[in-house]
Amino acid sequence: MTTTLLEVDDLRHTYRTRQGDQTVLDGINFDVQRGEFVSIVGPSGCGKTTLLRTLSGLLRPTGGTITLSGNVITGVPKGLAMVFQDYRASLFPWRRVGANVEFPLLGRVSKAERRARTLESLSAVGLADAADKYAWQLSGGMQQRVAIARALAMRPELLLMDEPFASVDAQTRSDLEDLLLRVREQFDMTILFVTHDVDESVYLSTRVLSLSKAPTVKTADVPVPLTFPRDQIHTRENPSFVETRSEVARLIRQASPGGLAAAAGAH
Amino acid sequence: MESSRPAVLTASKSIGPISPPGETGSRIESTRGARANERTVVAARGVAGVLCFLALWEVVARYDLLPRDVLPPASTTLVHAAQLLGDRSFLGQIGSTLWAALLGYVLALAIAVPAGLVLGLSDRLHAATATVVELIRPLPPVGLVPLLVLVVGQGIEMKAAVVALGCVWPLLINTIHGVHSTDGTAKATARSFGWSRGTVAIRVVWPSAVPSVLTGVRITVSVALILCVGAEFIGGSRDGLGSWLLQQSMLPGGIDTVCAGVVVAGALGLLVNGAVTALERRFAAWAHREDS
Ligand SMILES: Nc1ncnc2c1ncn2[C@@H]1O[C@H](COP(=O)(O)OP(=O)(O)OP(=O)(O)O)[C@@H](O)[C@H]1O
Ligand SMILES: [Mg+2]
Repeated sequence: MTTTLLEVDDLRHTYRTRQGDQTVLDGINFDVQRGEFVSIVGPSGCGKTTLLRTLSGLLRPTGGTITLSGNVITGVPKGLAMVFQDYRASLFPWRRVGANVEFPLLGRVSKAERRARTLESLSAVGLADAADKYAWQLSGGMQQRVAIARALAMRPELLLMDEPFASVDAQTRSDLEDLLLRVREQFDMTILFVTHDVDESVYLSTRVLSLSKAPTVKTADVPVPLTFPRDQIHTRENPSFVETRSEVARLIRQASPGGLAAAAGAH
Repeated sequence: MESSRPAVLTASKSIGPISPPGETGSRIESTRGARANERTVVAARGVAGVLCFLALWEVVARYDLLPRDVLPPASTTLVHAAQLLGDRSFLGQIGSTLWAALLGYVLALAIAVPAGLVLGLSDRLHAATATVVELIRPLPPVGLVPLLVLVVGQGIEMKAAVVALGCVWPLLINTIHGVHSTDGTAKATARSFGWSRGTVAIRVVWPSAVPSVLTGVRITVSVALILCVGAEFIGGSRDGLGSWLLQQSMLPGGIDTVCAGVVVAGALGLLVNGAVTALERRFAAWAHREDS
């Protein structure tokens, strides 16, 4: 029934800088099945952004292979869209909202199709009225919705998101989480979501991967035993939610420097 | 190279067209009406400034604070200037200067903008050419006039060459600066669309660089006029505003005509500047937005 969309095999990356080499990814392995929502959590600086950049083909890893829909990735693959944390810099300020959303489709689909998809995507994020504004005239949460709409317009099989909700306030963040779960159903996407918020990872996902500090390996692969649709109040009260979030939090603590030392001392 | 960057930045800040000085601190409603009002106020201040200047000039001349044969009164000069605008031969001279300046300027743009894009995009080429550019750049274009006269004569080619030599470097440096200031996330976003580097350059890097290129244009357009007149002066051109001024200054009582000619030239500079401001409003307004 399930088919594998993404296979990551012994992925390694070493940054070569003037100060010396720094190994960030030290052999990462995981698969993502179609339809999954996988969150990746890990301490700051462990290489989550580096991982997403290699998966999106923006950065060529120094080792290992990434396979998307059976094809080994060598550049930016088709069927993939990326949402960046820095929505301000990711939206082009000289283009209006609608023009930003259709931008990736230029030269690829007809004008009528572009217009239809732009409207559909903006409606899906509740911003159909904002098409003629400039992104910088909108609030932060609205800007990130524009970035999501643009990703939707690309009709990706796999959506990569790098801490997309890290710079908005708590209420906006909850709204954006629920919006993301809605459009995931509507557009039938597989999502790989980086966050350092444990609650968020459990609330959104079908599975949570946790990473160690650099040089980084995968330390855990935790399925989330919760059904959809999820609800900000009820899901978070659910004993399974509480249990899973505690487990993930424990795993992250063990992966952080203090946690490792404590674990070694207890050994 | 490093030292030139802050200068470019200050230039773009201090003469940015939309936020007038003193009002940057307060957040202004960016509605059309407010913008228009703001513009009217700025224009009114400008007119007031000009009137004060003219009044001062008139007083200085009328009460002979400076000798009459050095500075005729403002009123006389303005009337004279108005007469000049009806004078076909004078207009011909202006036209000749403008044509040469335009030619030189287009040449400068045609070299600086593509070269700036390429050098901005390729660090290797940039490093390879930086020393040569720094070596040639400080050469004063007007100082090259004698050499240019020998090579291409005293005509329009010489004038255009002086203009191009003077304008090409600020245009080049501002274009490179614009390319360099393209946001890294913006480029990464564009590449995540699956676009090639060439497509990213055309669709993202170029639009990002446009405001900086226009800052370069603003800095250089009036310089182009000045250089052209200077080249006519020094190079002994037979036509153009520079040679006209030189001839008039040698006639008895010619100082009146010279002053009037200078006023017309100043007004011309103002017009050109206005055109650049309009361009910036149209193509670089987003770079002067108030969102942060
Ligand atoms: N272009 C680069 N060149 C050299 N080192 C880099 C580069 N990008 C990232 N690094 C280093 O690699 C490590 C991992 O960075 P990365 O941004 O992937 O971490 P992250 O997990 O996304 O962190 P955060 O949670 O703070 O976003 C860091 O130590 C960082 O300094
Ligand atoms: Mg990161």
